[in-house]
Amino acid sequence: MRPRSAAPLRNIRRAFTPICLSKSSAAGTNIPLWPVRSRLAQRALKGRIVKFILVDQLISHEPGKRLVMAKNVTMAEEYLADHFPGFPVLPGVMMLEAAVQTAAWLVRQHSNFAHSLIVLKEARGVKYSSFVAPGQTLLMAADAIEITQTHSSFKIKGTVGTATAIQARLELAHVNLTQTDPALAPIDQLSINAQRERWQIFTQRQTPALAAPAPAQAAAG
Amino acid sequence: MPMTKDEVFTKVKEVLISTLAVDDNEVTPEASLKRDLNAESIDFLDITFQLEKAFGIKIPKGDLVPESMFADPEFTQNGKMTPKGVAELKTRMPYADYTDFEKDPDLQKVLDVITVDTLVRYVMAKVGA
Repeated sequence: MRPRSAAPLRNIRRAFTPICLSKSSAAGTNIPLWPVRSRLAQRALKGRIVKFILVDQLISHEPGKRLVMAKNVTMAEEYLADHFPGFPVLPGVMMLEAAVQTAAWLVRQHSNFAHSLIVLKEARGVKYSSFVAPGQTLLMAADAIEITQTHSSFKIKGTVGTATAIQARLELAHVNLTQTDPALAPIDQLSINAQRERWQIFTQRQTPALAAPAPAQAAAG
Repeated sequence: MPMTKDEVFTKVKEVLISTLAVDDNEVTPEASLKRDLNAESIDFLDITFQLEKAFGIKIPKGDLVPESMFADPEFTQNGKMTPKGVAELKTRMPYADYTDFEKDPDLQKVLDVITVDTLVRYVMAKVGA
């Protein structure tokens, strides 16, 4: 990420949509209705050019209850060049994105991939405690509080070794593009198929040997 | 007419409530932006921009987050700030209290020194209040 100090932050955040909403933007589902008919958008939905994949490995899974995934931080991540020069650490918003993606995978499994988009609706009590540097692994645990057809809520906790890196409560919204335009059904299916493929990769490489952190504690908020 | 400290505090408080989604009673002068209000790097960017807009000032890069110091071996070694680094911090941001940080100058805690009062005093110096 290369933020421009003169630009309104909402423009920077919009660049991450639908991946990440700031904790100050409460309520409302920020659905990206950019030109999803375009070939670029279709390639993105197939996962070919999406760059912000913030989970690498499935560690443990209790269907409908808890999912633990790992994010390995590497020097190759472009946003580290600016965060910070000479002292690269994973930005807090990327930790939050890793948490959202972990929770979203739990929802997808629970709902049998019923929705093409699972997006952050609200983040409460987000607390950052430790940096995560290249070469370290962020273990992200998402404990479901509630999962319905259209919404879900989680307690999340990210750890690096024995240190807590991030804690928060998240609310996600589950949607399909067909809700706004039935003609977009093929795009929904394209996205869902890509997600199923990726889940297949995760489950093939599940590594039970890595210890999972203790269940997430309730975050203040 | 120059702004009073209370007026500056009120405006800074509005900025922090808006950017950090915190309650009015959480924004006290002693509250650390990172430790107490859970601000992280993108929030400091947002706060910088909002303060510039609210007060009509320019906040140079590095004034609030001394990122250029993190890679300088004169100022940081093994994840800690050197005594020279602490001295340099005090020069760059003289409005913060470094008492606790000097006892354990861990880089992970460097942003803890920026409190609401630090911002207020910094802005007051900028607007000539």
